[in-house]
Amino acid sequence: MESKCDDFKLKIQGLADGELDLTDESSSDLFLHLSSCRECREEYHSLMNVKNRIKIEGSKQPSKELFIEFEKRRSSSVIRKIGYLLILVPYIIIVGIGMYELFRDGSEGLLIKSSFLAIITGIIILLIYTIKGRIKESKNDKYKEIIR
Amino acid sequence: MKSKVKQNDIFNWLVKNYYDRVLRTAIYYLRNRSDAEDITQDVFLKAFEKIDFSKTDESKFPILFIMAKNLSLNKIKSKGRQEETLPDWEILSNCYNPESDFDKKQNINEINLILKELKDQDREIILLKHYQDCSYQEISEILNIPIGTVMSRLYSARKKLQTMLKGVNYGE
Repeated sequence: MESKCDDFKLKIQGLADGELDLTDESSSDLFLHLSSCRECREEYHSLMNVKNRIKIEGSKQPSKELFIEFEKRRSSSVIRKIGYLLILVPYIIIVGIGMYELFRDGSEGLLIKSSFLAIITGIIILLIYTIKGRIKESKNDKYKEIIR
Repeated sequence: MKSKVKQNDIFNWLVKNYYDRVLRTAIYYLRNRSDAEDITQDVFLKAFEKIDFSKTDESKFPILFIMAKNLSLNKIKSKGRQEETLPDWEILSNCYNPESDFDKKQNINEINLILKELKDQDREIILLKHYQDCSYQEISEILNIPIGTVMSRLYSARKKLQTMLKGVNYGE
């Protein structure tokens, strides 16, 4: 193969793979070259032969279970979110009111107040620890480049 | 928030367009049909949450491929030795019917022997192009290399493959 042919080798491969940009001006140069160069035509046919030789035939269709499982997951995800909301919102309100009442009422002992404060501090520490863990996890997430 | 009907449509579209290629990926790594089907199901259910469907002109295969490969390798790590190992002809084809053409099976087995002779880098790109039916853009995303490199690497790998095929009278 001549050195001029070498300039076209990747384009011949692109043509065989159906990836040649036909609007590109250099594509017409390739066709012109192919019409006059037997070796490059042979190169193209040889590539097509390899492609046909290792071509995959047939396809497998998914089972219905995949779609049923998808439906189940979508429904359970919505129900789970509603469940979390129904538990968390009243819980936060009740705790907030309780805290307000406890600290406003001077009759309660220091022990009860400090115990309550310790529970709240414990929850905050666990929350911070969980959030930190999630951040660390997301940094190592192999799919982090994907927009969720 | 996507409506439920739209979510179903998107999921159906994703499965319809990529199921076969993802299953092929899982089968290639796991060499076990039942595990591969489980992994493929997992890939689609997880991918639906992670893929950005707003970019409609982008192929979703690269990320599905990476997910299928990672989940398959994790499965192998957790399960250890495979109980069922599919023969090469079934891994590298869609011949799900054991009664398929004997010549076809033999041809695939011989091609597989040749593929094993290739360097990892060459085999990888040949498999992505011919077995996974990837476009240059998809290969570029999967291997994280520019399209120009994909083309030259594929060209060089094919040249080696052509020479080897000629050696066993499978060339032109």
